[in-house]
Amino acid sequence: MIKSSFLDSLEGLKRADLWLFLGWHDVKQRYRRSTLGPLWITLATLLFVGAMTLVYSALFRQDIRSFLPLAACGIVVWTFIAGCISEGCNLFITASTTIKQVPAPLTVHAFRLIWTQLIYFLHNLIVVFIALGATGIFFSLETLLFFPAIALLTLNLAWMALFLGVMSARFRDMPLIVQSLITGLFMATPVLWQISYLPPERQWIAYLNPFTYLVEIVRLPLIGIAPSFNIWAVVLAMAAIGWALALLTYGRARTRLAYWV
Amino acid sequence: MAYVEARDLGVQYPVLTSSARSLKNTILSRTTGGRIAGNKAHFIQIRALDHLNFRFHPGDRVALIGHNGSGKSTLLRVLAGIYHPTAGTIQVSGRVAALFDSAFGMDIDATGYENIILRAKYLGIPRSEINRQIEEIADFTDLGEFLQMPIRTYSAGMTARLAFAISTSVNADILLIDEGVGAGDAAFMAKANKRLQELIDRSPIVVFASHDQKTVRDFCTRGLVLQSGNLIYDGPVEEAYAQYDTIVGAALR
Repeated sequence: MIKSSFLDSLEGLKRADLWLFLGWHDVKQRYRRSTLGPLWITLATLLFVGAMTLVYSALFRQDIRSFLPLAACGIVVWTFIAGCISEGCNLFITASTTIKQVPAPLTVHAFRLIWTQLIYFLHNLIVVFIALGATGIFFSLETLLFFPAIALLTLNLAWMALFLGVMSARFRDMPLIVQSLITGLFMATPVLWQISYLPPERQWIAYLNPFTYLVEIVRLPLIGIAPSFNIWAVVLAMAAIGWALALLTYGRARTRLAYWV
Repeated sequence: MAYVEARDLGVQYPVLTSSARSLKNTILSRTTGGRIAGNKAHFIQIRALDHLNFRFHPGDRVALIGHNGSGKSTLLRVLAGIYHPTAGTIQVSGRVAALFDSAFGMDIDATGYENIILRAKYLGIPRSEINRQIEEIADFTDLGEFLQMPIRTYSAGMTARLAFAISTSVNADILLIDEGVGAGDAAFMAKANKRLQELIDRSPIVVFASHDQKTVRDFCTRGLVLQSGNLIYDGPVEEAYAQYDTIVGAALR
Protein backbone atom coordinates (compact mmCIF):
# COMPACT_ATOMS: atom_id res chain seq x y z
CA MET A 1 0.00 0.00 0.00
CA ILE A 2 2.84 2.38 0.84
CA LYS A 3 4.34 1.52 -2.52
CA SER A 4 1.23 2.35 -4.52
CA SER A 5 0.65 5.61 -2.70
CA PHE A 6 4.34 6.43 -3.12
CA LEU A 7 4.01 5.88 -6.87
CA ASP A 8 0.90 8.04 -6.84
CA SER A 9 2.83 10.80 -5.07
CA LEU A 10 5.53 10.56 -7.72
CA GLU A 11 2.83 10.89 -10.39
CA GLY A 12 1.65 13.97 -8.53
CA LEU A 13 5.18 15.39 -8.41
CA LYS A 14 5.50 14.81 -12.15
CA ARG A 15 2.57 17.10 -12.76
CA ALA A 16 4.80 19.92 -11.52
CA ASP A 17 3.78 22.23 -14.34
CA LEU A 18 0.20 22.00 -13.06
CA TRP A 19 0.76 22.63 -9.38
CA LEU A 20 3.48 25.22 -9.89
CA PHE A 21 1.06 27.09 -12.15
CA LEU A 22 -1.90 26.69 -9.80
CA GLY A 23 0.16 27.75 -6.79
CA TRP A 24 1.19 30.98 -8.48
CA HIS A 25 -2.35 31.43 -9.67
CA ASP A 26 -3.62 31.14 -6.06
CA VAL A 27 -1.21 33.82 -4.87
CA LYS A 28 -1.95 36.12 -7.80
CA GLN A 29 -5.67 35.68 -7.46
CA ARG A 30 -5.70 36.61 -3.81
CA TYR A 31 -4.01 39.92 -4.46
CA ARG A 32 -5.10 40.62 -8.00
CA ARG A 33 -7.00 43.79 -7.39
CA SER A 34 -4.67 45.42 -4.89
CA THR A 35 -1.84 47.76 -5.83
CA LEU A 36 0.77 46.31 -3.50
CA GLY A 37 -0.12 42.80 -4.58
CA PRO A 38 1.55 39.97 -2.70
CA LEU A 39 3.67 42.53 -0.82
CA TRP A 40 0.65 42.87 1.47
CA ILE A 41 1.81 39.59 2.96
CA THR A 42 5.19 41.13 3.70
CA LEU A 43 3.67 44.28 5.13
CA ALA A 44 1.33 42.37 7.45
CA THR A 45 4.21 40.27 8.74
CA LEU A 46 6.38 43.35 9.19
CA LEU A 47 3.74 44.99 11.37
CA PHE A 48 3.24 41.81 13.38
CA VAL A 49 6.97 41.35 13.95
CA GLY A 50 7.33 45.02 14.94
CA ALA A 51 4.53 44.88 17.49
CA MET A 52 5.66 41.55 18.95
CA THR A 53 9.24 42.76 19.26
CA LEU A 54 8.25 45.95 21.06
CA VAL A 55 6.01 44.14 23.53
CA TYR A 56 7.76 40.85 24.13
CA SER A 57 11.34 42.11 24.31
CA ALA A 58 10.10 44.25 27.20
CA LEU A 59 8.10 41.43 28.78
CA PHE A 60 11.02 39.03 28.62
CA ARG A 61 13.47 41.82 29.57
CA GLN A 62 15.61 41.13 26.52
CA ASP A 63 17.80 43.52 24.61
CA ILE A 64 15.71 44.58 21.63
CA ARG A 65 18.69 44.18 19.27
CA SER A 66 19.14 40.52 20.06
CA PHE A 67 15.39 39.91 20.32
CA LEU A 68 14.37 41.39 16.95
CA PRO A 69 16.18 38.90 14.66
CA LEU A 70 15.00 36.05 16.86
CA ALA A 71 11.36 37.11 16.74
CA ALA A 72 11.45 38.01 13.05
CA CYS A 73 12.90 34.65 12.00
CA GLY A 74 10.68 32.78 14.44
CA ILE A 75 7.45 34.41 13.29
CA VAL A 76 8.26 34.06 9.59
CA VAL A 77 9.07 30.35 9.97
CA TRP A 78 6.03 29.80 12.17
CA THR A 79 3.73 31.53 9.68
CA PHE A 80 4.93 29.03 7.08
CA ILE A 81 4.38 26.07 9.40
CA ALA A 82 0.96 27.22 10.61
CA GLY A 83 -0.15 28.06 7.08
CA CYS A 84 0.68 24.61 5.77
CA ILE A 85 -0.99 22.89 8.71
CA SER A 86 -4.22 24.87 8.90
CA GLU A 87 -4.66 25.08 5.14
CA GLY A 88 -3.57 21.46 4.87
CA CYS A 89 -6.73 20.40 6.67
CA ASN A 90 -8.86 21.87 3.89
CA LEU A 91 -6.66 20.55 1.14
CA PHE A 92 -9.06 18.07 -0.42
CA ILE A 93 -12.25 19.67 0.87
CA THR A 94 -11.70 22.91 -1.06
CA ALA A 95 -10.54 20.99 -4.12
CA SER A 96 -13.71 18.89 -4.14
CA THR A 97 -15.08 20.22 -7.46
CA THR A 98 -11.72 19.73 -9.14
CA ILE A 99 -11.40 16.23 -7.76
CA LYS A 100 -14.80 15.28 -9.17
CA GLN A 101 -14.21 16.89 -12.55
CA VAL A 102 -10.63 16.18 -13.58
CA PRO A 103 -8.75 12.93 -13.30
CA ALA A 104 -5.36 13.79 -11.79
CA PRO A 105 -3.24 12.36 -8.98
CA LEU A 106 -4.72 13.76 -5.78
CA THR A 107 -1.30 14.57 -4.33
CA VAL A 108 -1.21 17.43 -6.86
CA HIS A 109 -3.42 19.36 -4.45
CA ALA A 110 -0.98 18.84 -1.59
CA PHE A 111 1.99 20.03 -3.65
CA ARG A 112 -0.01 23.02 -4.85
CA LEU A 113 -0.70 24.06 -1.27
CA ILE A 114 2.91 23.64 -0.12
CA TRP A 115 4.10 25.64 -3.12
CA THR A 116 1.60 28.45 -2.43
CA GLN A 117 2.72 28.63 1.19
CA LEU A 118 6.37 28.56 0.12
CA ILE A 119 5.74 31.57 -2.11
CA TYR A 120 4.23 33.43 0.86
CA PHE A 121 7.22 32.38 2.94
CA LEU A 122 9.65 33.78 0.35
CA HIS A 123 7.76 37.08 0.47
CA ASN A 124 8.02 37.10 4.24
CA LEU A 125 11.74 36.47 4.05
CA ILE A 126 12.06 40.18 3.19
CA VAL A 127 11.04 40.91 6.79
CA VAL A 128 13.84 38.64 7.99
CA PHE A 129 16.38 40.50 5.86
CA ILE A 130 15.15 43.84 7.22
CA ALA A 131 15.44 42.61 10.81
CA LEU A 132 18.89 41.09 10.25
CA GLY A 133 20.12 44.20 8.44
CA ALA A 134 18.79 46.50 11.15
CA THR A 135 20.61 44.59 13.88
CA GLY A 136 23.82 44.11 11.92
CA ILE A 137 23.73 40.35 11.40
CA PHE A 138 25.16 39.64 7.99
CA PHE A 139 25.85 36.68 5.81
CA SER A 140 28.16 34.02 7.22
CA LEU A 141 29.07 30.47 6.17
CA GLU A 142 26.46 29.09 8.58
CA THR A 143 23.76 30.94 6.65
CA LEU A 144 24.22 28.44 3.82
CA LEU A 145 22.72 25.78 6.09
CA PHE A 146 19.43 27.60 5.60
CA PHE A 147 18.97 25.82 2.26
CA PRO A 148 19.06 22.18 3.42
CA ALA A 149 17.10 23.26 6.49
CA ILE A 150 14.22 24.83 4.56
CA ALA A 151 14.17 21.79 2.27
CA LEU A 152 13.82 19.48 5.28
CA LEU A 153 11.16 21.67 6.86
CA THR A 154 9.16 21.71 3.60
CA LEU A 155 9.47 17.94 3.36
CA ASN A 156 8.00 17.65 6.84
CA LEU A 157 5.20 20.11 6.19
CA ALA A 158 4.27 18.24 3.01
CA TRP A 159 3.57 15.01 4.86
CA MET A 160 1.65 16.87 7.57
CA ALA A 161 -0.53 18.59 4.97
CA LEU A 162 -1.18 15.31 3.14
CA PHE A 163 -2.00 13.46 6.36
CA LEU A 164 -4.25 16.20 7.76
CA GLY A 165 -5.89 16.67 4.37
CA VAL A 166 -6.92 13.01 4.20
CA MET A 167 -8.06 12.89 7.82
CA SER A 168 -10.08 16.09 7.45
CA ALA A 169 -11.79 14.88 4.29
CA ARG A 170 -13.07 11.89 6.28
CA PHE A 171 -13.57 13.53 9.67
CA ARG A 172 -14.97 17.01 9.30
CA ASP A 173 -14.25 18.07 12.88
CA MET A 174 -10.53 17.59 12.25
CA PRO A 175 -9.93 21.16 10.94
CA LEU A 176 -11.63 22.54 14.05
CA ILE A 177 -9.53 20.36 16.36
CA VAL A 178 -6.32 21.38 14.60
CA GLN A 179 -7.32 25.04 14.56
CA SER A 180 -7.88 25.04 18.31
CA LEU A 181 -4.54 23.33 18.97
CA ILE A 182 -2.47 25.58 16.77
CA THR A 183 -2.58 28.70 18.96
CA GLY A 184 -1.49 26.73 21.98
CA LEU A 185 1.26 25.19 19.94
CA PHE A 186 2.46 28.66 18.95
CA MET A 187 2.87 29.55 22.62
CA ALA A 188 4.59 26.28 23.52
CA THR A 189 7.06 26.49 20.66
CA PRO A 190 10.14 28.72 20.84
CA VAL A 191 8.94 31.24 18.29
CA LEU A 192 9.06 34.40 20.38
CA TRP A 193 11.51 32.91 22.85
CA GLN A 194 14.49 30.59 23.06
CA ILE A 195 14.96 27.44 25.07
CA SER A 196 17.54 29.28 27.20
CA TYR A 197 14.80 31.67 28.43
CA LEU A 198 13.25 28.79 30.36
CA PRO A 199 14.57 27.67 33.73
CA PRO A 200 16.33 24.26 33.32
CA GLU A 201 13.56 22.34 35.09
CA ARG A 202 10.99 23.62 32.56
CA GLN A 203 13.02 23.17 29.39
CA TRP A 204 11.57 19.70 28.78
CA ILE A 205 8.47 21.39 27.35
CA ALA A 206 10.52 22.70 24.47
CA TYR A 207 12.56 19.53 24.03
CA LEU A 208 9.46 17.32 23.86
CA ASN A 209 7.76 19.57 21.32
CA PRO A 210 8.66 18.43 17.79
CA PHE A 211 7.93 21.88 16.44
CA THR A 212 10.85 23.25 18.44
CA TYR A 213 13.20 21.44 16.08
CA LEU A 214 11.28 22.47 12.98
CA VAL A 215 11.52 26.15 13.93
CA GLU A 216 15.10 26.07 15.17
CA ILE A 217 16.55 24.22 12.18
CA VAL A 218 15.60 27.13 9.92
CA ARG A 219 15.92 29.96 12.39
CA LEU A 220 19.44 29.23 13.65
CA PRO A 221 21.17 29.39 10.24
CA LEU A 222 19.38 32.66 9.49
CA ILE A 223 20.89 34.29 12.57
CA GLY A 224 24.27 32.77 11.77
CA ILE A 225 24.38 29.71 14.03
CA ALA A 226 24.78 26.11 12.84
CA PRO A 227 21.97 23.87 14.20
CA SER A 228 23.28 21.04 16.38
CA PHE A 229 23.47 17.46 15.18
CA ASN A 230 20.48 16.54 17.37
CA ILE A 231 18.24 19.03 15.59
CA TRP A 232 19.14 17.62 12.17
CA ALA A 233 18.61 14.07 13.42
CA VAL A 234 15.18 14.79 14.91
CA VAL A 235 13.95 16.62 11.82
CA LEU A 236 15.21 13.87 9.51
CA ALA A 237 13.59 11.18 11.63
CA MET A 238 10.32 13.13 11.67
CA ALA A 239 10.38 13.32 7.89
CA ALA A 240 10.94 9.58 7.55
CA ILE A 241 8.34 8.48 10.09
CA GLY A 242 5.89 11.16 9.02
CA TRP A 243 6.03 10.26 5.35
CA ALA A 244 5.50 6.60 6.16
CA LEU A 245 2.44 7.53 8.20
CA ALA A 246 1.11 9.93 5.57
CA LEU A 247 1.60 7.47 2.71
CA LEU A 248 -0.08 4.72 4.69
CA THR A 249 -3.07 6.94 5.46
CA TYR A 250 -3.23 8.29 1.93
CA GLY A 251 -2.90 4.79 0.52
CA ARG A 252 -5.89 3.59 2.51
CA ALA A 253 -7.98 6.60 1.55
CA ARG A 254 -6.83 7.25 -2.02
CA THR A 255 -9.52 5.27 -3.79
CA ARG A 256 -12.24 6.60 -1.51
CA LEU A 257 -11.33 10.28 -1.28
CA ALA A 258 -13.46 11.24 -4.29
CA TYR A 259 -16.51 9.82 -2.50
CA TRP A 260 -15.76 11.69 0.71
CA VAL A 261 -15.29 15.23 -0.55
CA MET B 1 -5.71 0.63 -29.52
CA ALA B 2 -8.28 2.30 -27.32
CA TYR B 3 -10.77 0.18 -25.48
CA VAL B 4 -12.76 0.04 -22.26
CA GLU B 5 -13.62 -3.17 -20.54
CA ALA B 6 -15.67 -3.60 -17.39
CA ARG B 7 -16.02 -6.90 -15.59
CA ASP B 8 -18.50 -7.20 -12.76
CA LEU B 9 -17.90 -3.52 -12.14
CA GLY B 10 -19.45 -2.32 -8.93
CA VAL B 11 -19.41 0.94 -7.05
CA GLN B 12 -20.67 1.26 -3.55
CA TYR B 13 -20.05 4.32 -1.51
CA PRO B 14 -20.88 5.46 1.96
CA VAL B 15 -23.07 8.43 2.64
CA LEU B 16 -21.47 9.73 5.77
CA THR B 17 -23.83 11.31 8.23
CA SER B 18 -22.58 14.15 10.35
CA SER B 19 -22.09 11.76 13.23
CA ALA B 20 -19.89 9.39 11.21
CA ARG B 21 -18.00 12.43 9.98
CA SER B 22 -16.92 13.34 13.48
CA LEU B 23 -13.59 12.06 14.72
CA LYS B 24 -14.70 12.63 18.31
CA ASN B 25 -17.81 10.49 17.86
CA THR B 26 -15.90 7.78 16.02
CA ILE B 27 -13.34 7.48 18.79
CA LEU B 28 -15.99 7.66 21.52
CA SER B 29 -18.11 4.96 19.89
CA ARG B 30 -15.02 2.75 19.78
CA THR B 31 -14.26 3.18 23.44
CA THR B 32 -17.86 2.64 24.49
CA GLY B 33 -17.67 -0.68 22.67
CA GLY B 34 -20.97 -1.00 20.84
CA ARG B 35 -23.06 0.38 23.65
CA ILE B 36 -24.48 2.91 21.25
CA ALA B 37 -26.93 0.69 19.45
CA GLY B 38 -27.61 1.10 15.76
CA ASN B 39 -24.42 3.02 15.20
CA LYS B 40 -24.09 1.27 11.85
CA ALA B 41 -27.29 2.93 10.74
CA HIS B 42 -25.34 6.18 10.47
CA PHE B 43 -23.27 4.58 7.81
CA ILE B 44 -25.49 4.20 4.77
CA GLN B 45 -24.01 2.43 1.77
CA ILE B 46 -25.25 3.37 -1.66
CA ARG B 47 -24.92 0.80 -4.40
CA ALA B 48 -24.44 3.12 -7.36
CA LEU B 49 -23.31 0.51 -9.88
CA ASP B 50 -23.85 -3.21 -9.66
CA HIS B 51 -22.11 -5.94 -11.65
CA LEU B 52 -21.71 -4.11 -14.94
CA ASN B 53 -20.15 -5.98 -17.85
CA PHE B 54 -19.41 -4.27 -21.14
CA ARG B 55 -16.69 -3.60 -23.65
CA PHE B 56 -16.29 -0.44 -25.75
CA HIS B 57 -14.32 -0.58 -29.01
CA PRO B 58 -13.06 2.16 -31.31
CA GLY B 59 -15.97 3.46 -33.34
CA ASP B 60 -18.43 3.01 -30.49
CA ARG B 61 -20.70 5.98 -29.85
CA VAL B 62 -22.26 4.99 -26.57
CA ALA B 63 -25.25 6.68 -24.95
CA LEU B 64 -25.91 6.15 -21.26
CA ILE B 65 -29.66 6.17 -20.81
CA GLY B 66 -31.50 6.20 -17.52
CA HIS B 67 -33.35 8.23 -14.90
CA ASN B 68 -31.73 10.69 -12.58
CA GLY B 69 -29.76 8.67 -10.09
CA SER B 70 -29.58 5.58 -12.27
CA GLY B 71 -25.78 5.66 -12.20
CA LYS B 72 -24.92 7.47 -15.45
CA SER B 73 -22.70 10.13 -13.91
CA THR B 74 -21.12 7.64 -11.53
CA LEU B 75 -20.22 5.40 -14.47
CA LEU B 76 -18.72 8.34 -16.34
CA ARG B 77 -16.61 9.20 -13.30
CA VAL B 78 -15.42 5.61 -13.05
CA LEU B 79 -14.44 5.69 -16.73
CA ALA B 80 -12.59 8.95 -16.11
CA GLY B 81 -10.63 7.37 -13.25
CA ILE B 82 -12.11 9.74 -10.68
CA TYR B 83 -14.13 7.12 -8.81
CA HIS B 84 -12.45 3.82 -8.14
CA PRO B 85 -14.53 0.64 -8.45
CA THR B 86 -15.26 -1.08 -5.16
CA ALA B 87 -15.94 -4.40 -6.89
CA GLY B 88 -14.86 -5.96 -10.17
CA THR B 89 -12.44 -4.35 -12.58
CA ILE B 90 -12.37 -1.63 -15.17
CA GLN B 91 -9.67 -1.46 -17.80
CA VAL B 92 -9.29 1.74 -19.75
CA SER B 93 -6.68 1.96 -22.45
CA GLY B 94 -6.18 5.27 -24.20
CA ARG B 95 -6.15 8.94 -23.39
CA VAL B 96 -9.36 9.96 -21.64
CA ALA B 97 -10.97 13.39 -21.77
CA ALA B 98 -13.88 14.23 -19.51
CA LEU B 99 -16.37 16.98 -20.38
CA PHE B 100 -18.54 17.07 -17.30
CA ASP B 101 -19.19 20.66 -16.37
CA SER B 102 -17.99 23.02 -19.05
CA ALA B 103 -17.80 25.98 -16.68
CA PHE B 104 -15.56 24.04 -14.33
CA GLY B 105 -12.41 25.71 -13.05
CA MET B 106 -13.12 29.07 -14.63
CA ASP B 107 -11.71 31.91 -12.59
CA ILE B 108 -13.80 35.04 -13.05
CA ASP B 109 -10.97 37.38 -12.07
CA ALA B 110 -8.60 35.92 -14.63
CA THR B 111 -8.61 36.94 -18.29
CA GLY B 112 -9.97 34.78 -21.07
CA TYR B 113 -6.45 33.83 -22.11
CA GLU B 114 -5.47 32.89 -18.57
CA ASN B 115 -8.56 30.72 -18.29
CA ILE B 116 -7.64 28.86 -21.45
CA ILE B 117 -4.19 28.16 -20.03
CA LEU B 118 -5.63 27.24 -16.62
CA ARG B 119 -7.92 24.60 -18.08
CA ALA B 120 -5.23 23.26 -20.39
CA LYS B 121 -2.91 22.79 -17.41
CA TYR B 122 -5.61 20.85 -15.58
CA LEU B 123 -5.98 18.58 -18.57
CA GLY B 124 -2.22 18.10 -18.82
CA ILE B 125 -1.88 19.59 -22.28
CA PRO B 126 1.74 20.43 -23.21
CA ARG B 127 2.78 24.04 -23.67
CA SER B 128 3.25 23.88 -27.44
CA GLU B 129 -0.25 22.54 -27.90
CA ILE B 130 -1.66 25.24 -25.61
CA ASN B 131 -0.36 28.03 -27.84
CA ARG B 132 -1.94 26.42 -30.88
CA GLN B 133 -5.18 26.01 -28.96
CA ILE B 134 -5.32 29.61 -27.83
CA GLU B 135 -5.43 30.81 -31.44
CA GLU B 136 -7.97 28.22 -32.38
CA ILE B 137 -10.23 29.06 -29.43
CA ALA B 138 -9.91 32.80 -29.98
CA ASP B 139 -10.91 32.20 -33.58
CA PHE B 140 -13.90 30.05 -32.70
CA THR B 141 -15.36 32.18 -29.90
CA ASP B 142 -15.17 35.50 -31.80
CA LEU B 143 -14.35 37.10 -28.46
CA GLY B 144 -11.40 39.00 -29.95
CA GLU B 145 -10.12 41.74 -27.66
CA PHE B 146 -12.32 40.46 -24.86
CA LEU B 147 -9.94 37.57 -24.27
CA GLN B 148 -7.57 40.06 -22.65
CA MET B 149 -10.24 41.10 -20.15
CA PRO B 150 -11.18 39.35 -16.90
CA ILE B 151 -14.14 37.12 -17.58
CA ARG B 152 -16.19 38.80 -14.88
CA THR B 153 -16.72 41.54 -17.50
CA TYR B 154 -18.29 39.01 -19.88
CA SER B 155 -21.98 38.42 -20.42
CA ALA B 156 -23.32 35.00 -19.44
CA GLY B 157 -23.42 34.00 -23.09
CA MET B 158 -19.83 35.00 -23.69
CA THR B 159 -18.65 33.02 -20.67
CA ALA B 160 -20.61 30.00 -21.83
CA ARG B 161 -19.08 30.28 -25.30
CA LEU B 162 -15.57 30.45 -23.92
CA ALA B 163 -16.17 27.55 -21.54
CA PHE B 164 -17.61 25.47 -24.35
CA ALA B 165 -14.76 26.28 -26.71
CA ILE B 166 -12.14 25.43 -24.10
CA SER B 167 -13.68 22.14 -23.05
CA THR B 168 -14.25 20.99 -26.61
CA SER B 169 -10.70 21.73 -27.75
CA VAL B 170 -9.42 18.46 -26.33
CA ASN B 171 -8.04 15.50 -28.23
CA ALA B 172 -8.59 12.09 -26.74
CA ASP B 173 -9.05 8.42 -27.53
CA ILE B 174 -11.95 8.14 -25.15
CA LEU B 175 -14.29 11.09 -24.81
CA LEU B 176 -16.73 11.26 -21.91
CA ILE B 177 -19.54 13.81 -22.09
CA ASP B 178 -22.01 14.50 -19.32
CA GLU B 179 -25.01 16.67 -19.98
CA GLY B 180 -24.70 20.35 -19.41
CA VAL B 181 -22.10 20.79 -22.08
CA GLY B 182 -24.10 23.33 -23.99
CA ALA B 183 -23.39 26.83 -25.16
CA GLY B 184 -24.85 30.29 -25.41
CA ASP B 185 -27.47 31.77 -27.68
CA ALA B 186 -29.32 30.18 -30.58
CA ALA B 187 -27.04 31.65 -33.23
CA PHE B 188 -24.09 30.08 -31.50
CA MET B 189 -25.82 26.74 -31.04
CA ALA B 190 -25.48 25.72 -34.68
CA LYS B 191 -21.78 26.50 -34.59
CA ALA B 192 -21.44 24.72 -31.25
CA ASN B 193 -23.15 21.58 -32.48
CA LYS B 194 -20.88 21.49 -35.50
CA ARG B 195 -17.87 21.71 -33.22
CA LEU B 196 -19.22 19.01 -30.94
CA GLN B 197 -19.81 16.80 -33.98
CA GLU B 198 -16.19 17.35 -35.10
CA LEU B 199 -14.93 16.49 -31.66
CA ILE B 200 -17.00 13.31 -31.59
CA ASP B 201 -15.86 12.41 -35.11
CA ARG B 202 -12.20 12.59 -34.18
CA SER B 203 -12.55 10.62 -30.92
CA PRO B 204 -12.39 6.83 -31.36
CA ILE B 205 -14.67 6.10 -28.41
CA VAL B 206 -17.40 8.43 -27.16
CA VAL B 207 -19.56 7.92 -24.08
CA PHE B 208 -22.40 10.36 -23.77
CA ALA B 209 -24.92 10.82 -20.96
CA SER B 210 -27.85 13.08 -21.71
CA HIS B 211 -31.60 13.31 -21.27
CA ASP B 212 -31.94 15.04 -24.61
CA GLN B 213 -33.11 12.19 -26.85
CA LYS B 214 -32.67 14.11 -30.08
CA THR B 215 -29.01 14.90 -29.41
CA VAL B 216 -28.36 11.35 -28.29
CA ARG B 217 -30.00 9.87 -31.39
CA ASP B 218 -27.96 12.24 -33.59
CA PHE B 219 -24.64 11.35 -32.07
CA CYS B 220 -24.85 7.83 -30.72
CA THR B 221 -25.16 4.36 -32.19
CA ARG B 222 -25.16 2.20 -29.10
CA GLY B 223 -27.23 2.56 -25.97
CA LEU B 224 -26.71 1.31 -22.43
CA VAL B 225 -29.82 1.51 -20.29
CA LEU B 226 -29.15 1.83 -16.59
CA GLN B 227 -31.65 1.42 -13.82
CA SER B 228 -30.65 1.81 -10.16
CA GLY B 229 -27.10 0.87 -10.98
CA ASN B 230 -27.93 -2.20 -13.05
CA LEU B 231 -27.28 -2.53 -16.74
CA ILE B 232 -30.59 -3.69 -18.16
CA TYR B 233 -30.00 -3.25 -21.87
CA ASP B 234 -26.98 -2.91 -24.14
CA GLY B 235 -27.55 -2.63 -27.88
CA PRO B 236 -28.49 -0.30 -30.74
CA VAL B 237 -29.58 3.11 -29.51
CA GLU B 238 -33.10 2.97 -31.00
CA GLU B 239 -33.86 -0.32 -29.28
CA ALA B 240 -32.31 0.97 -26.09
CA TYR B 241 -34.80 3.82 -26.10
CA ALA B 242 -37.63 1.40 -26.79
CA GLN B 243 -36.54 -0.59 -23.74
CA TYR B 244 -36.22 2.56 -21.69
CA ASP B 245 -39.70 3.70 -22.71
CA THR B 246 -41.27 0.42 -21.60
CA ILE B 247 -39.67 0.86 -18.19
CA VAL B 248 -40.81 4.45 -17.93
CA GLY B 249 -44.23 3.38 -19.20
CA ALA B 250 -44.38 0.61 -16.63
CA ALA B 251 -43.50 3.09 -13.93
CA LEU B 252 -46.27 5.43 -15.07
CA ARG B 253 -48.97 2.78 -15.19
